Amino acid sequence: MNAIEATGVVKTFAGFLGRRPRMALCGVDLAVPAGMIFGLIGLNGAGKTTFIKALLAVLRPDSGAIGVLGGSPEAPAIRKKIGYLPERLHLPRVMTPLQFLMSVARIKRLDNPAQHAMHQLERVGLASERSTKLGGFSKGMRQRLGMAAALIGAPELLVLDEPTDGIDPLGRAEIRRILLEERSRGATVFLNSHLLSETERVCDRVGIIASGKIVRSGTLDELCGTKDRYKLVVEQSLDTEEMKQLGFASGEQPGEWICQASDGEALMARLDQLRRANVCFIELRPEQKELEEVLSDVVNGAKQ
Amino acid sequence: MTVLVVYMDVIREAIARKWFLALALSTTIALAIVGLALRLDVVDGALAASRLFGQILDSDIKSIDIALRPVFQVGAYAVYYIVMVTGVFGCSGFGPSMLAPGRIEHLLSLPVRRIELLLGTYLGVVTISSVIAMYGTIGLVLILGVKTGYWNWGMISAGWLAAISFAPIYASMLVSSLIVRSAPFCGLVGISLVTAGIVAGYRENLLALWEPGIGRTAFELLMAPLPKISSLAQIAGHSAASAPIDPGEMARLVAGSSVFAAAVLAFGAWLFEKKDF
Amino acid sequence: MTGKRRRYGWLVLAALLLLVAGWLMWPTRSDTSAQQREITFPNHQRSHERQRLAGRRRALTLLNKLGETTQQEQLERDPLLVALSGAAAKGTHLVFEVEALKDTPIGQIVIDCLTNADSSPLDKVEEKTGISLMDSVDRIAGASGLLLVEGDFSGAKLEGLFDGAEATAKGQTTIYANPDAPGGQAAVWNKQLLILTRDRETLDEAIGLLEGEVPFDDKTIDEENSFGEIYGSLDVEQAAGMFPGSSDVGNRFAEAAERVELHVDASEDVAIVANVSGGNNDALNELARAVGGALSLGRIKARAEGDDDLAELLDFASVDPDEGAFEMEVALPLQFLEDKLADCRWMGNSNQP
Repeated sequence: MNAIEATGVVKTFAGFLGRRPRMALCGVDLAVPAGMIFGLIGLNGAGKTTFIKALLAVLRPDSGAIGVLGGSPEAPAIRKKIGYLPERLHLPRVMTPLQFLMSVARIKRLDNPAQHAMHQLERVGLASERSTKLGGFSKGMRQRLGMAAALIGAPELLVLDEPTDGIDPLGRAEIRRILLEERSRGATVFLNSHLLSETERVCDRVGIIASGKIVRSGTLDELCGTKDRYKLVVEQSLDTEEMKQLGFASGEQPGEWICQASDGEALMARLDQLRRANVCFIELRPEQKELEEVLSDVVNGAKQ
Repeated sequence: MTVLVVYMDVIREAIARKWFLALALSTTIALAIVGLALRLDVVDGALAASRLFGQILDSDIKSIDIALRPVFQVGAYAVYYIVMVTGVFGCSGFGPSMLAPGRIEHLLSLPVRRIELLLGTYLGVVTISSVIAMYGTIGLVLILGVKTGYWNWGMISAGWLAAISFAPIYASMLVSSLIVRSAPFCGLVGISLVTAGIVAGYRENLLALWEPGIGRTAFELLMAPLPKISSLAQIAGHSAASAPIDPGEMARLVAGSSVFAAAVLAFGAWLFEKKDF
Repeated sequence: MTGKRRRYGWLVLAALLLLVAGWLMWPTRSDTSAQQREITFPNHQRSHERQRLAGRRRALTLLNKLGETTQQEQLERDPLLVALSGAAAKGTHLVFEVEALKDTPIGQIVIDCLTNADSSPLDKVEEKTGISLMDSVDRIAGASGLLLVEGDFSGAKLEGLFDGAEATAKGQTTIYANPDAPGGQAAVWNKQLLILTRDRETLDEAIGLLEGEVPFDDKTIDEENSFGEIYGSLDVEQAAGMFPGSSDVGNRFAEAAERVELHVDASEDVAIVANVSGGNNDALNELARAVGGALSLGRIKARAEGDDDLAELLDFASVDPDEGAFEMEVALPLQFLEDKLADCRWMGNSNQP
């Protein structure tokens, strides 16, 4: 079953006081299978947050269809199974974390709201601050609390908008661990992050949105990997011309060389040439692009 | 019931806000001052002498309940309009706070309908204002009752009439926050409606000054559905002073104000449902 | 129902509810608040009373008392009050504005009693004297042994008052006396003021005051106090007796009060204002409190007995203490007085001329 199904989703924001209308989503088609971590990446203004809000019926698309967990996000019964972390979570300053999480638990009609609240506070490392007024929380603490609110009730779908925003590196590691735990539990995680390195580390599949459309989607290997290019690290290489003649182009780092081989035999032939030239290689792997580079290529392609 | 959860959250938030604690404390202090500073000598059920802060108040010797009627009437008007004004300014922030970016998205992602959010917030705020109104009213009744032996429970009507009158005012304020998310704007809408409601209560007098025509008809139609704030204040004063009131008129005004509040909330529900956040 | 249709449902509901609210709060013709009873207490001279007084004043040559001496002066004064001043100094005196009282509910009750009696006193007087009390009389004033009737007596046959009476003139006064029938004499001053007394001394005093032969003390009756349909002053003992069942208040009244000035407005319910003055300020203050308490208890008793009308009017009762005096305001419901007066038993033992 797909946790998320979006077909032809269009959303235009009306112009106001002379401003032109802005088409934020231009026909988004996306299917996210259940039980995985899906990352949505794109530039600012690409439509990531708009799409996320459409998933939760926070805003209504002008056309198209959105299905979440087999139902409509308008239905409270469906939203009960969703945990959401907004990009900028605004918390009431006079409440304490415990009160806030208990409020969420009550709205979700959970038995023993206090127990659920304490469990999630412990998970995100805020148990000791449970009675501190939220007005005194740092950004990182608020983000953790938002994460805890999303996790309350063991939702089947987690929708996280910039989950590690404002969190220190150790905290990010904690968040990654929690996300992996949730996936192990069988939940689907749909996240949006500008930190592409974080996306690379946790996501099973990534979608790239540009100009209101999903332009590419797939596993990291599918997006970033190359079929016939290999990266080689050698101990001591020949000079560049000689390496070129052997069919190797220089890589980004010293000692790194790139070769192209259509299949395993062709690759072995290249390596044999190196051995015959007494070049000792110490590492061989398929060449993968950085996600950032992929994004850049996609965006530039989309512009063209 | 989700409305109840939202409602209780609003109550908790209000209690946690120091403003309301300060209001409760200042009301208590004011009542305590009245209680300690006012001395009333009652002889055979007649108010023989009154002293405020030690100064003898020049007043006739009358039956205690008669003598206190003007006090209760003034008290009723004071409670009524103080509840209006403090309610407008004290409660103007709840709607915009609920609709703050980052909060409203989170709330809407929860299994709660938009109308439930609206109703829960509305009922919570109206409950708070009612509690404040009744606290001041009952406090005044208790103080004067203990001092004089005369228990004027008619004064309680000032409290609940103030609460009923504030309900349509707050409905308008809450709905206005859906249009412009701003606490000062909500306050402005509230004060404007209170003013319009006072004028609406005197519409018959004002119509007498108007030449028949489109303008007069438009004024009449505009004033018709508005809550009659000044009329309800008058009823509160009369009730507190044990003066005769027309129960039919009171029932119509109370029902009309409540229906106006419901109309505004229904409009708010339409706005809220179609709004994107 | 689609989302849009559901949303529009709210809008339609809002419009309908607004119409209902407007209908509920639309002003109706019968939309008048319940009227609260209003009582006007006569505690100062009103403009029509000032005009009335001005119209009654005549240029009189009076023997004005100035301290220990007297001096004949021409003064603009109300003749009835001048004639009354001698008896007024000795005790109770009351003035009834008959012309005004005729139009009041209480006046109607009194007139009904007088006209419906088997032998109506009004008819008797008219028969004997030609004076129609309903048409010719403006005021009646009474004091100890003295009755003054003011009106238009130009066509009156006052000889008929007493069989065999002889008329003698003295200044502007015509005196009717029957030397063979002691205890019955009358006089008419300026064909406008009928003076009836039990004894000759009282008659001579009243005439002497008007003709400038008997010293006249301005302070005895203040013309500025001639307001209300009934006004005057009560003897302290008589006033004390008006507190039945509260004899303690009555006793205190008799001890502390020296003078009780009374004003009654009978235009609707009867509103009474009594100014009580005395020498002992403390005793008066205590008396004021006691009177206030008595009124309050009276109100409680009326409520307990279900006499809501009386209780409602006693709502207006108050006592206003001042230096050396206090003012008491009390209203009596018309129904209460109707019940007391309508059977006309009060007419039974009255001494009529």
